[in-house]
Amino acid sequence: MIVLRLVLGGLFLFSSFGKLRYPRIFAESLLAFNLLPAGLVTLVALALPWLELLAGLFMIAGYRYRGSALTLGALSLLFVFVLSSAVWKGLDISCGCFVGVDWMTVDWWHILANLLLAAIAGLIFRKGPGVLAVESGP
Amino acid sequence: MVPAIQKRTLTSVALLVGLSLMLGLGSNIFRTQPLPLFEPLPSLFPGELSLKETFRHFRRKDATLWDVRSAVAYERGHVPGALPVDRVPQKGKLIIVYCSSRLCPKAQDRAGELRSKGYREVLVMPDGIKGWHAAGYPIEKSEP
Repeated sequence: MIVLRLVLGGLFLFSSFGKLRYPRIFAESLLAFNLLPAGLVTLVALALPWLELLAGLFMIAGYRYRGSALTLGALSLLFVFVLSSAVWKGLDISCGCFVGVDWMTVDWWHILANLLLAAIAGLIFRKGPGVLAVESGP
Repeated sequence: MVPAIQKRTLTSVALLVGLSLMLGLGSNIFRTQPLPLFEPLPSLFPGELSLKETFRHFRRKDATLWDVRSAVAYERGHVPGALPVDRVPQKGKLIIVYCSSRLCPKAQDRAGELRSKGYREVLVMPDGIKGWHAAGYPIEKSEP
């Protein structure tokens, strides 16, 4: 369980760094999906990376693991929806997963990866954080 | 009645969302170029040039264009006359830095480095080579 916690938390943590450093670029990548009203894009671009960072840190530490698992699971499912809509519309755009990696375009592999992350979050939510965690399991 | 464990879970989620909003909005205030809230993102920020303006400088040959993508990407196609990433432009002329697209942060980073080294006229073309190509402007390929 600790490996799953590190993979899930670490991935979101890593993904947040570029978005925190370049919020404008992240906002531009969000705009390309055509899902959010233009006035809300900035707010999401500013807050979402912090949510990834904090939930990722909580997950790695095993602190409030259910809350962080729920948050990261919900984010992964949200990304599944967003990426699926882009694939459905046939948009050839960057997935926005990691800022600065503009060659990573949306495809079914990213959708599958996010489904896997959601499943990992669900598993941690149910089974507990395992060893080396601030909090013990259910 | 929500069980205690569920309450704690929901409290954790609310805490994470609340903290993220506060940190996101708070950090934006301290940025040199804060993002505008609740309004569309401007296409150009201060220190940036549109494709049309860049093309004007390109035609007049009064600016040095600096392609900060990888050497391989440069060889595949670049703005004619643009310098590759390993050839840092000389001072004294307007420098226009570009990368691949609006999603590439390298142009802003390199422009910032030049400014910190005392270069006065440094601008960024945020649309990058993709925007340049899409607008129908000329592209030059390096011989292998």
